[in-house]
Amino acid sequence: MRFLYSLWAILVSILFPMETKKRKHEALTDPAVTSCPSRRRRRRRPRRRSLLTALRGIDPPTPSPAPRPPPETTRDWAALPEDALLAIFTRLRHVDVLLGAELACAPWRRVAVGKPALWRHVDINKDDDGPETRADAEKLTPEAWITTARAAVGRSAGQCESYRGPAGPEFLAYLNASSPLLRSLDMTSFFRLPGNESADRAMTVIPSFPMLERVVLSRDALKLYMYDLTMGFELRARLVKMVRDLKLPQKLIDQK
Amino acid sequence: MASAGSGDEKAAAAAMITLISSDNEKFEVTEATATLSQTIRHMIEDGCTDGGVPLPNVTSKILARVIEYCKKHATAAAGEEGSSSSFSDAAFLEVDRAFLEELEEFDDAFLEVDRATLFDLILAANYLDIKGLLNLTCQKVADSVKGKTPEQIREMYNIVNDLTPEEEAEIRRETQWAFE
Repeated sequence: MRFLYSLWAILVSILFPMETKKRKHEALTDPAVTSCPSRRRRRRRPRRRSLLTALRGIDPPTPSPAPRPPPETTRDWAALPEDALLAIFTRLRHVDVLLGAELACAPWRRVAVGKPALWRHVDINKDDDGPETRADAEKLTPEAWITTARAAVGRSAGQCESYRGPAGPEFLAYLNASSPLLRSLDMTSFFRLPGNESADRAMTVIPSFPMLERVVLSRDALKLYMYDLTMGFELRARLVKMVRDLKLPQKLIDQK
Repeated sequence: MASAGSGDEKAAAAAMITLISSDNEKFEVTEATATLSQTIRHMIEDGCTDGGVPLPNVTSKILARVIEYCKKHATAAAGEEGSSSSFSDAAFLEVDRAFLEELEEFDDAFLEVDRATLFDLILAANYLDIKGLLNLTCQKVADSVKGKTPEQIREMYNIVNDLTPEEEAEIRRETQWAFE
């Protein structure tokens, strides 16, 4: 009898600390418990758990990872409303639209291509010495550059009122055919194809913009053979008559 | 813009409008603040703002920021009106300049948000038709896109290149020497 009692006492002393230890341990590790804000529940849950685990004879289930909160940063920028995209694109240089933004995805491209208002004043001067000169623009050949300029003018759907950028005889012919509303023409550089007939075409093209008020020829355009050789004083006189605001390179003026 | 009599205007400035966010939070704002939004202005004109204006597309978090913007800019607009009457007064011009500088600082600080918030602000500005806010937020996007390649832009804004083969071909045509 005495033996049995002492055995019972030993059993109790062994079992109880184990039980309390286990409770503490569980309370600390079980995330479901620690994350629970209520004190009352915190006390009750472990007991139920420990009983359960004792009955089943298994460890408490490993906590499943907390459900990831929906990533805060993911927004569908491709699906910006048209007006917002337009507001963004009007704040970019045309070069940044043509070689950057509009190539990012189809919805952006569709807005860039489909809004003539964006291209009413085409300005794609390559040689802007800004801090944001584009490396990809530098790499474009003069031919590609003028083709890009042509695409830009084409998007204005006949609404182009001013153009600033590279030009050439063929480009001027295209501009003349496509932009009856052109008021301002600023040729920052000039690219010509070999052959005399193109020069002749360019000569007749410049004055035939019905609305043209302003012509600017940059220093770079001074390199044109057409001003020194073909254009001559006659065309210049014609331009002066037709265009209210004519800015020619200094050298040409000095020649007079 | 042609405005109603000045008496009406004053009464309108004092009136309060309740805006209700998508998560059902209510915001009381003056009419002068609320009418920076053309959408709300039209609702007021149509007399359908009793019982609050539900804005199911705008969360309380974003609406609070939008209201913050409108409050600041509504007082700016009011200040401008006040000073224009005494345009000759140099002191007023000085105050004006200080105020504009302050407004600029406010805008700069206002834009210091993460991309997701910026996106939500753009949507809200677009939906509520608040020109100034749309311009401000879109300028920030434009600045971040400036000089970037398409690849860099996609990376920055988590955009997937979904241009169709036809569009890709068109793009190639546009940058190649294509004169006959």
